[in-house]
Amino acid sequence: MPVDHSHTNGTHPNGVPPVNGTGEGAANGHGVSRSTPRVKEGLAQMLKGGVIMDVMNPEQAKIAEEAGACAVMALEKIPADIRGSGGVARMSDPGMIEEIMAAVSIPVMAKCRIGHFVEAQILEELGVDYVDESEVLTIADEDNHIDKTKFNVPFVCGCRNLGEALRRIGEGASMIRTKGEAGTGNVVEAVRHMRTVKREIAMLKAMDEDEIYTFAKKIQAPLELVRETRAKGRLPVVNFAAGGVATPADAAMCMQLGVDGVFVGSGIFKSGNPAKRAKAIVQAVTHYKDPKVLAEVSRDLGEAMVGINCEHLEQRWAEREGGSTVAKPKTHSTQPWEDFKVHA
Amino acid sequence: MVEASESPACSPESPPASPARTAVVLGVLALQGAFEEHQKLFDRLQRPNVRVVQVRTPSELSSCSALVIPGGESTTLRIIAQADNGAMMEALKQFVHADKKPVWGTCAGAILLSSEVISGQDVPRNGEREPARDKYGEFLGGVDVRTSRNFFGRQKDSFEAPLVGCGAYADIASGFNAVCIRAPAILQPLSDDVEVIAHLPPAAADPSSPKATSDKPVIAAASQGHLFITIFHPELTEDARFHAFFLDKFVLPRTGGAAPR
Repeated sequence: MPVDHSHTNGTHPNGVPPVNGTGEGAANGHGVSRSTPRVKEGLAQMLKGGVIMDVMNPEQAKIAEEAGACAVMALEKIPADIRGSGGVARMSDPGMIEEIMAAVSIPVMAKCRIGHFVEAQILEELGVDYVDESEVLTIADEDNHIDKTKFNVPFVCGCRNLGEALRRIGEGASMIRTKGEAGTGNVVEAVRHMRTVKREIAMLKAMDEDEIYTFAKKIQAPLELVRETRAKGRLPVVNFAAGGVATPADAAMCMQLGVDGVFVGSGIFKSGNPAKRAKAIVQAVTHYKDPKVLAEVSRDLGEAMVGINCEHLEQRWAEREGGSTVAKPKTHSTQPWEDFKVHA
Repeated sequence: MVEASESPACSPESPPASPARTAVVLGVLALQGAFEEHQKLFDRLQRPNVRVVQVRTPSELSSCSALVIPGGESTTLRIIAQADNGAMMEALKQFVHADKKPVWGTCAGAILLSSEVISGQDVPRNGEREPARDKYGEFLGGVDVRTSRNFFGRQKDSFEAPLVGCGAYADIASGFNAVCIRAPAILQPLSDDVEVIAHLPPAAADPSSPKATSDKPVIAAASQGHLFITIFHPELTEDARFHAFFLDKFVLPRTGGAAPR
């Protein structure tokens, strides 16, 4: 697909340069600048065409690296186990994240709760390469996401549709992924989210220019980002698939639907032969248009993760979004913009 | 095949841009990484006699007269190239060493083309050369330099900085915005055949890091014969100067196409 990352020319679409939490980012005497939008979004561009794998310990991280993962996501419990165990899911132990960072040379990502800016500060301090503000963990702020422009570390966030993706980019996310339904091994929700984003971008491109103001209002997205998306014909930042990818065929399907790469969570380490499956999914993402390779790598992978049919899910994580999660009916409005809810 | 039909310049099947003369086929290695970004900048140059294609297999590579190895993860690129009994890795070695076709490696690509690769600051023992392989197999080699992977550190140490061009290259390189993402550093040439094209400005490393104490400027771009390496990512900018430089200095003189002007 045509790719234009021209907004990565140092000025963010919001016109807001990153306000750096720790005071870096400004050019030093030699014109060296860190944590600019281009540098933050640039790492995601380097991950394109690759597979990012959930790992729970250094051994799994090494298996992922040896299989050809372009990055790993360090977390204590993979989504399938979070679903099984219930309770509040939080940021992982920093010691465990550091062990994984020491074990591999590829980039390491870690998850914080939606809206939990202190967990994000801790992850930034550890030096992780990307923070995932993730609906897989329990939501910490039902009204607000993290103001990601305040951080030097780049963020990836989930989306179900174009409006949600652009809201996150507006808050400073440097990379987007579909939410799917993590921990299910069922690709159906990821497909729904990819197709929705794709369809909405196609609609936006076909619109008369006069119509984009109302469209931006309807999807509750920043107007400037809507304009940029229309001009480029794609999301302004790198977009991966996530949430339910379990087989090489799932991964290649996501690529053919137009994403830039794939996250695989429970699908690998909940399967019979993780190393072999991980390698197969990496090959499937590179050769996603070649059914001959796909047929070859799909052979003899052993047991796939069992999977859950999404209609029986008690909890749909994809519905978790700050500002749109309807927790419980309220008796009266506590905020003047209370009625301004997102209907996704 | 939803996307395939939308990318006319991406597939080898697409018609040449100019039927008038034989086009030079320039491959961009598309195993993983920022290959679309490279393709886009070459397209921006609008050279009618250059056709840019994505390369994933030995047969696609065999149709190319020059290659770009993009930024990505060097470990990942090597592992993918070594699948299928290393067929792609062998084809790449043949392309670089036997056929001596022009190749440009950016960041991960520069690591693959370096004759000696170390991690961080582990400088090898006196005068001994590190073999160009590790537990994930071989590198391609070809440029006699010692390159250090992730020299500057993790993502928080990534940066952009203006290049300093060397000698005759001041015009092309000086002031170019070098985007360095978890970048390697070319620490030193290991042969007189290596030409240094540009340095990073001093103090590109984080001032709090011990690496900043080294006063030797980091080599950011170098060449040896038909091979060109840059530790930064021109494909992440809007500036196609280095893309034009690679075509005019390395590709067209070796493929029979004359440089413009």
